[in-house]
Amino acid sequence: MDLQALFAAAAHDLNGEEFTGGVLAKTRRLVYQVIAVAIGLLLTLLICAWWFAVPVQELSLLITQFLGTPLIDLGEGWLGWIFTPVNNIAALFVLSAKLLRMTWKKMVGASYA
Amino acid sequence: MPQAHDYYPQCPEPLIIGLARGGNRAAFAELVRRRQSSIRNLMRRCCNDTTLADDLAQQVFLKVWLSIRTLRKLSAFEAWLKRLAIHTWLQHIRKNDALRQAGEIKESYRASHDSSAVGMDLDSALAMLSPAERLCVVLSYQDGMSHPEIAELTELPLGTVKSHIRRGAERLQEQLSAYADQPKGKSS
Repeated sequence: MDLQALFAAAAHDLNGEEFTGGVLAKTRRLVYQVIAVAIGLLLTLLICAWWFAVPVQELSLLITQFLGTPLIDLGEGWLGWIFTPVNNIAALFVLSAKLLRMTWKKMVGASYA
Repeated sequence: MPQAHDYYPQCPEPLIIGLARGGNRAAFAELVRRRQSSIRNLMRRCCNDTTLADDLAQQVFLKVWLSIRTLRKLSAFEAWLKRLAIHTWLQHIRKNDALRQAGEIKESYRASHDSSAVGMDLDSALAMLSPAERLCVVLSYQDGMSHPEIAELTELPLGTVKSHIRRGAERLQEQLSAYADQPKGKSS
């Protein structure tokens, strides 16, 4: 029995107008959904910016002030001015992070060796 | 005054694909019009349920619409479309429990979409096969694809594809033995 001929006999040339209309309607719906989601996201961002702009600004100011606090009081003179870049909490954080990274690298390197 | 898209039915397919890739909706509609029959027939043979088949075929064309920009070679469109259709069908059968689905199909094949006697008999015979066997048999006998092509598209090992087709064809021959002695053209 020729199965290929049987399949060919059973295949129809289907009318595509209604089907094509359905596909196009779905693509249109998808476009609207994407636009709606984009507008929603944009509105949420705008509302968040409007609500949280002042608190975020205040928080960032507080953090900046905290990080700039001197570790040792060297006074207002030239000594204090020279050591300003390293004599603060931010520098301590940076140095600690660098040290931790170096230690980690040594440990990992040693374990591979 | 006739508009550009009025001439799309006479345009060669690579041009239509190129226009659709550029976001032309009328060209995309023409592409759907041209290709819907083969994809719907493939889905109908695979799942034996007209509504589900058309729904899956619509999903295929939605995927085409969403990702046609990623198609590099216009000449590869046919194979790409078939791959999308097969992946959509495989996704569907993976989503639904295979055993439950096989049961549903056996129940539903009586209400087959096909009004012709050959179509109805073929659908009921196909319903006896597992989804993977059915897919391989349909791709081989309906779409005339080679075994390596089917293996590549379905991501099944070549040996598995060959055994699916051999077993599936044997079972179809058994089920459709009434057509074996019938002369051509008297099938419906």
